Amino acid sequence: MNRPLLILLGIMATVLASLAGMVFVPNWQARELAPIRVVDAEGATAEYPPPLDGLAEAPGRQIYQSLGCIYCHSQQVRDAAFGADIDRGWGQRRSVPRDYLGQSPPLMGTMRTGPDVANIGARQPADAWHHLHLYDARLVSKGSVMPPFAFLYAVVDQDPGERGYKLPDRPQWIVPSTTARSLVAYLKSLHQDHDLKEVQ
Amino acid sequence: MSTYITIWAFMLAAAISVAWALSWAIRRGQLQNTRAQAASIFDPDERDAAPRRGSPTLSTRGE
Amino acid sequence: MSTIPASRPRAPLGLPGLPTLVSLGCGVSVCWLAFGLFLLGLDRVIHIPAAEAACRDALSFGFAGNALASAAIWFYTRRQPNGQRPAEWLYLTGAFYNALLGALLTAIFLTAFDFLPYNLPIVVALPLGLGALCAVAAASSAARPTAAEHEVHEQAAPGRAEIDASCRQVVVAWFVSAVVWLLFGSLLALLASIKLHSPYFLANSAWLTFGRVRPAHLNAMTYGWASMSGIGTLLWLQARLCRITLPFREALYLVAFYWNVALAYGLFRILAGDSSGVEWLELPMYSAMGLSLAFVVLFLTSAKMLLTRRAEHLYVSQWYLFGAVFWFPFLFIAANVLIFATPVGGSVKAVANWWFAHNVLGLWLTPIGLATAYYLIPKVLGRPIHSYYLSILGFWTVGLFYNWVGTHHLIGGPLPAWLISVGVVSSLMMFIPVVTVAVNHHLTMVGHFHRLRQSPTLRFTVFGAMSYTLVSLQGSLMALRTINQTTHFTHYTIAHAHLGVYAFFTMIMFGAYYYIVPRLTGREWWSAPLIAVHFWSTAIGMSIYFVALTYGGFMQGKQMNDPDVPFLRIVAQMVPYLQWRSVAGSLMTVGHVAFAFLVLQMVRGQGRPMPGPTLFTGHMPPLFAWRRRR
Repeated sequence: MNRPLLILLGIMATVLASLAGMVFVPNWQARELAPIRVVDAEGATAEYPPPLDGLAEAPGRQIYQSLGCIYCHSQQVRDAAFGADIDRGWGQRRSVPRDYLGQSPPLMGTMRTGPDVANIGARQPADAWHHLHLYDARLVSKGSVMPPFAFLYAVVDQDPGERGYKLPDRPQWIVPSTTARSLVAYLKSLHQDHDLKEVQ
Repeated sequence: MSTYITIWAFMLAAAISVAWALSWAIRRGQLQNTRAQAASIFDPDERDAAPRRGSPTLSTRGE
Repeated sequence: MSTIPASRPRAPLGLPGLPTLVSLGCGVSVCWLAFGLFLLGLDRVIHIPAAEAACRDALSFGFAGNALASAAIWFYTRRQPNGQRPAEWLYLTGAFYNALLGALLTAIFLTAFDFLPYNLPIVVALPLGLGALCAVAAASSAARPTAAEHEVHEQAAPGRAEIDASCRQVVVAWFVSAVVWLLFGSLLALLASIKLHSPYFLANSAWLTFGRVRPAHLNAMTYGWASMSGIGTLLWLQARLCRITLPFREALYLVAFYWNVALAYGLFRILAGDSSGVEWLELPMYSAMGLSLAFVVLFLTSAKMLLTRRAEHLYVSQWYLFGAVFWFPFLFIAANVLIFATPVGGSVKAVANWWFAHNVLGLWLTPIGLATAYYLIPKVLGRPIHSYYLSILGFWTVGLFYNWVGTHHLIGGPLPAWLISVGVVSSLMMFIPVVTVAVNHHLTMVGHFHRLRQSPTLRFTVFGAMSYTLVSLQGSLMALRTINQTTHFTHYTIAHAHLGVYAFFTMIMFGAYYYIVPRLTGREWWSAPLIAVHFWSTAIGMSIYFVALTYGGFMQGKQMNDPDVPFLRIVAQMVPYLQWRSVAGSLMTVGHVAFAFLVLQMVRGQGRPMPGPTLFTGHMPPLFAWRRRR
């Protein structure tokens, strides 16, 4: 073989084909996907998936990215017939593309050193649990290997009232920083609990 | 529907050009004499050589 | 040392010599420093974000960029055998770069009024400017060959020693940078590994939390060690196979500096918390775009080498190398733009993510690794590869199928089923190129396995080539849904990834270093036993790593799919395997330190003057000697 141009054409063709097939076609297919209106138990209508609140949840998502939570926690529930995600209570139904609308980038993850958090907001609704867990995961989950995020908290000896959370094993309280509050707000916003017509 | 036709048309066009490129390569002898192509990395002083000890760094002979 | 036409005898613009250029560069760099400090003061007095951003750019690109470029030019030109005169395009480059930076800072102040998003000018303007400049430089060099180059063309093609000498400074720059990144990446790897079983280890700083150290490790290894060593090998190999001296040496040398600066800045931002949160694309966009557009120079260099080659045939390695140098920048730019610069979110971005991420291995590291193996194994053995047909078939099938496998990372995920099926099917189709390569390499080696005892190059390269077969077959099987159901989301995948990037690619690169560096420096390796230490610690370390995490990960997956096993029990059961990983990682790091020391000795000129290559003969390391004594 002595024609570089032919090789160049070939390598361009292969990569362009996969760009078209793996990226453009799915994008074209996803163009019709839109949020839906849902009616909750009290009769109020809301949008699903709900947009993140710009004050705490959206910055919290950035902190989730910045601290690299994605390297141990996925945000995707597999089908009941594929793995034990639903049996483990990580979700009531499998995740579908609509759950990730507007997420840029989607934080689906590929690793479960820790459990899936697609529905952590529904599974752990209490602020106190999240803050203690972030401060030192061993306080609420014995044997966990999650890194402590104590650098997001101040420890005080006097009861700070509503702002703080008491440590279970000693007379001290942790006071979350704005960063920790945002992160918990984001975590609590995570839930995929609306029945969607595409989930059979 | 038209999208699927487009996709299939593109795939067909790609397949035809691949077949054409292959036939071109065969017609022009690009796939002939592969022995020489495989041996093209050797210089005349080292072709089909037995394992050698000479280092090119000082003696300009290569492995 | 030979007399290659390294200097440029013409100086049509009548420009001053090296000292003027370097002092000019330093002067401009000091001006940027002063301006940056002024902006810093301005930012302290009246707080405007634009001043902060402009200050950052003035200091990093203005001050550091000019200073480093001046240093690089000085080092490079000073060592040229004849002639102290830098090429004229360097002046143009410098002037254009600084003008562009000035325009950029102006644009940043304009964005202070929400006119443009901040990232846009820096992402687009700076790397494009650099690319355009290098293109101009390349075109000018290509269009007007010097008198000396004309002379050379009339003579016979340059010999091996001459080609090696022309690569010397450029390839050593890429190689040494790569080794520094290898050491830094190993340190980060150890930190991350220890943190996974001892969570309180160095846990008081956000900078060193696991979720930042891990991506910093990945990026230092991928874009620092693997890419830089790969590019060094690529340049040398392409020059050798084209049988011409390396063109565009100044530009390639500068790009090595530029690459280091962009990557160091990107890793610093990851540790500081600016990671994008997308696997394999964590580098902030300004850093990533800088890296990908350094490829303008690499692509032009490759193209020029192929077009001006003195060899009649294009050997299969050249196909792979040319493919890699086109594929990777294309993928990198496309993925960055699709994921970070398009407003629409959603799960399809995960597809783009994994389309890219798997292709880092598939269309960047794999072609370079295979090209190197296709050259080194025949060269060391002194016999051609077994079947050239098979190697061509392997090339086109890699190009055809490897692109499409990415979605096997998302099996079971929230995506259209057809997309996952495409990933699974192409993963299985990868059997074709893998088997062709495996058969070809094996049949080339048959009857010569005893040479593994002697040649360090061959031992590392064949280890890598065998790992390629293993990792690819394993990868194809892991894409099967039944197996993926267990192995997905576990450390099994981590073991697989290291088998690819480490046992395959890195080992082949080690082999390439052992072959190439003596030919660049004119010396032989300092110590054969130390090479043996390097081989055995990395080979054993990698084996422990693979066995521990493969078994542990498989158990983890089995238990995770059994809802009766509490999650925390799985976590606890993984701890011993993770500790074994730290042991394996320490062992590999020992090997890296030995390797870095050997490279350092070679670069310092402390290698041994020897008539033949360094071989494991005579004083055999004990682990290997028992069979020979009998």
